[in-house]
Amino acid sequence: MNSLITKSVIRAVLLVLLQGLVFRRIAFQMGDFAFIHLFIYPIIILLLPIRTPKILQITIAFVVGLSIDAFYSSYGIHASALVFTAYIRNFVIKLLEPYSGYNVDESPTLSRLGFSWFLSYASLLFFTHLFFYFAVEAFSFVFFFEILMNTIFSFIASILIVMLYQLIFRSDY
Amino acid sequence: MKNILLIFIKYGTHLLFIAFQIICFTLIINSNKEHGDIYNNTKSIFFENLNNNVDQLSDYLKLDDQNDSLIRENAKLMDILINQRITTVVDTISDTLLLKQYSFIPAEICNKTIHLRNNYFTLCVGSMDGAKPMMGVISAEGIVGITTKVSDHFSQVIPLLHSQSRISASIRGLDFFGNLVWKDSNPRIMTLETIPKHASISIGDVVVTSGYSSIFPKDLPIGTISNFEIAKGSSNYVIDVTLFNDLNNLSYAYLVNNRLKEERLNLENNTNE
Repeated sequence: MNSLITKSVIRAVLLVLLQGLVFRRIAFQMGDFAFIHLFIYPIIILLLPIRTPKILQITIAFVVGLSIDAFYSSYGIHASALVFTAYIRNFVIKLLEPYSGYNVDESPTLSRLGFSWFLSYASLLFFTHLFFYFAVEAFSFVFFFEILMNTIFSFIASILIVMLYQLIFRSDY
Repeated sequence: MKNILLIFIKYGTHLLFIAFQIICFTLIINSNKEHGDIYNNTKSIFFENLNNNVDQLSDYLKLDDQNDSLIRENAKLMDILINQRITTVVDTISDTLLLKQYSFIPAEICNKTIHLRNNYFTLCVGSMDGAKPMMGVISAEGIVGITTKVSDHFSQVIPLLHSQSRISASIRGLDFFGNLVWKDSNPRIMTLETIPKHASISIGDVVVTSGYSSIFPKDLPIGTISNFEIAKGSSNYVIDVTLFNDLNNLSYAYLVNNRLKEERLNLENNTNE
C-alpha cells in the first residue's frame, strides 16, 4: 500500500515533467494543419487506485493541472479540464464495471483489466478531457470547428502514446 | 450545523468539484488576457440585456403612476390651452377672472355601460375632488357627457349615449346651433338636429360645442358630419355625426369646471323672471 502511494507520486511527478518539458514542445504542424497536440498527463488521474477517495482524486487533479498550467503558462485551463476528468472518472469506472467487479485496491491498468477495457476507459476519459480542455481554451463555442478538430486529432495522437506506454511498461500500478 | 455537515459529507465531491471549477475559471479569466476579454465582452452583453429587461419591467410596473401624472399634466395643459383660447377671443376685456374661466379635474372611469339605450358612466372622482352635478365631461379627443349625481368619491355621468342627453352643438365656421342627440344604437354615431336647411354644410365638416350651455367651453371638437338629409315636411337637417372619441374604449376623462357658470345662470334666470 505504501509503495503504491510512493510509486503513484513518482509517476505523477515524472509524467508532469515529461509533459511539461518534452511533449509540450512536440507539435506537428503542416501548413495550416496544426491540430495535433500531445497530452499524456491525464494518465496520472486515470491510473489512480480505484479506491482513492473522490475528494482526494479531485484535489490531486487540481494540483497536477495547476503544475501543468505552470509549464504552459495558461493559468487554470488544464486544471479545470483535469478536475472535470477526475470528476467524471468515477462515473466512467462505474459504467465500465466488468461482471467480476474491480479489485478496488489497485489501479485500473491495461495489464489488469485487458486491452479492450483499457482502450474504452482511456478513450472516453481522454476524449472528454481534450474536448473540455480545447473548449475552455477557446472559451467560446464560436470556434466550434477548431475545438472539434483539435480534440479529434490530439485525441488520436495522445491515445496512441498512452496505449504504447501501457503496453511497454506493463506495470501493475 | 449537523445538517450542513451531513450535506457536505454526502455531496462533498460535487461541491469540491464546483469549487475547484470556480477557482479555475477565476484564474483563467484573471490571468489569461484573451479569456478575460471574451468573458468581459460576454458579461457586458448579458448584463446589458438583463438591465434592459429589468428596465422595461419596472417601466411597466410604473405605468399606473405615470398614467396618473400624465393625466394630471394633461388637465393642466388643457387648462392653459382652452383658457388661452378664450382670452384671445375676448382679448379686449382684461378681466383676470376670465383667464381662469375653466379648470379641469382628471378622472378615471370606473364603470360604464355602452350597449343599452340609456347608458351611464361612473367616474372615480366625487365632491371631495371638486366634482359637482351638471359639469361637462370631456376626453382628449372629444366630449363624453354631463355629470348628474355626485357623491363624496364618485360621480355619475349621463354620457352622449343616453336617450335624454342633449348637447348644444354647432358646426365649425357656422353660427347655427342645434341639439346633439343619440337616436342610433351605434355608439359612434350621434344625430344633430335643428340646423336650418339653408345652412350650407357638407360631409366632413367638424361639429363642435357651441358654448351656449355654460357646461362645455366653446369650440371643443365632437365629431364630423358623415351623412345629412332634410326630413320630409321639415325645415331642418337631420345630420349624422361620427364622434371623434370611441366611448367604448375610454378610461380617462376630465371634468370641466366653469367658474363663471353660476354668475351666468343667475343672470339668465333673473332675465326670465
